[in-house]
Amino acid sequence: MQATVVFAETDAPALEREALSTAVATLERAGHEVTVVDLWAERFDPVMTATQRRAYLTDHPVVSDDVAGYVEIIQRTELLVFVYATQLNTMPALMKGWLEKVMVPGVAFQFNTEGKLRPALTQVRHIIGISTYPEAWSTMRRQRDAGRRTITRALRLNTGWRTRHHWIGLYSCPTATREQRGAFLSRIEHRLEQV
Amino acid sequence: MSAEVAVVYAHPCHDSFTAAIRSRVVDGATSAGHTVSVIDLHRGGVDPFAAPLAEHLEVMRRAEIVVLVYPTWWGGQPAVLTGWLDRLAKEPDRALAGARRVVAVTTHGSSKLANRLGGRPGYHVLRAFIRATTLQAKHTWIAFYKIDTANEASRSAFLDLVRQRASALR
Repeated sequence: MQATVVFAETDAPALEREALSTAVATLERAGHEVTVVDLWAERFDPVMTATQRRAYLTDHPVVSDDVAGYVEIIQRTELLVFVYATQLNTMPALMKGWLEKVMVPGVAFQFNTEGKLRPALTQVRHIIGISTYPEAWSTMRRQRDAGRRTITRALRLNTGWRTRHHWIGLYSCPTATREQRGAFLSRIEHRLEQV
Repeated sequence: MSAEVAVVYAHPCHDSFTAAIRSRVVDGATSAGHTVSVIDLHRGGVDPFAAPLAEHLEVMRRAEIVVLVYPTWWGGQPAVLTGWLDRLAKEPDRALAGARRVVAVTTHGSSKLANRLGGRPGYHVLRAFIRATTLQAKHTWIAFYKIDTANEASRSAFLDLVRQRASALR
């Protein structure tokens, strides 16, 4: 399958980067064709400009070259993976801005003849979220994990409800032991092998 | 009783409906005798990855009422606001310890139902932000749904509502 892994962390050595390499290596071993979108390394600007916002409301919503490149990638993606560290109950601004700019009308969704919203990313068959959390699992459950909801619910409104989704989280990250970190990476490997 | 009100605005277009909402908030709050400061995240080169500007931090620390005015995109706050709130929440001491109320005034392209199906991430981020930055502020949620198909009458009714709610802030 055509797999795309979206990564939104700085270049500092971190567990999230290990999670990214594990995910990419596993997918490649399984014979998928993998594209990595490393937003920080690619210097993606998440802030919506007035020009981009005005274009959003027209028939040609994509006005910048970097976004056009991402649109091309996303339109052929069948397996979509997100890797990030949850902060303030959600995904980093870098990744949120990427969704805002790439998932535009005509790419992520379209309007049918009755003017109703319909998904346009129907070729996406699997969505997998991988995230680390400073909070405990129970806290995230109480807080309703807005980042996870953005990906498994809001995004799935654009891929169709038949798209399968899985979530792999490492909770209470700052106090996680070596074993727990290792187990997190093995869970990523195990899950992605099964896709 | 007059209060310090901080209005945080996040829309790149200054002729947008969100901009009109901002001016109603400022009007309403000023008419109630409050002191209003506006922070425009699309002005002055705000970098969502950098620590908040000293002048912004000062406004937020002083604020007794905080009003966030933004469009809901992808179920939540625009990236520039997400990043800014996150950095504010990372300040060593609670940046909004003096705030007693946080208000979100936002517009949704989709219906209330679609927003529920989408999981309302923006609302849950707001709750997390309040928990991280204030001592015990209450929150108020003022939302306008289906903005893309809304007619003039309902838009202007919403603007009137915003002005009235802003003038009733205590």
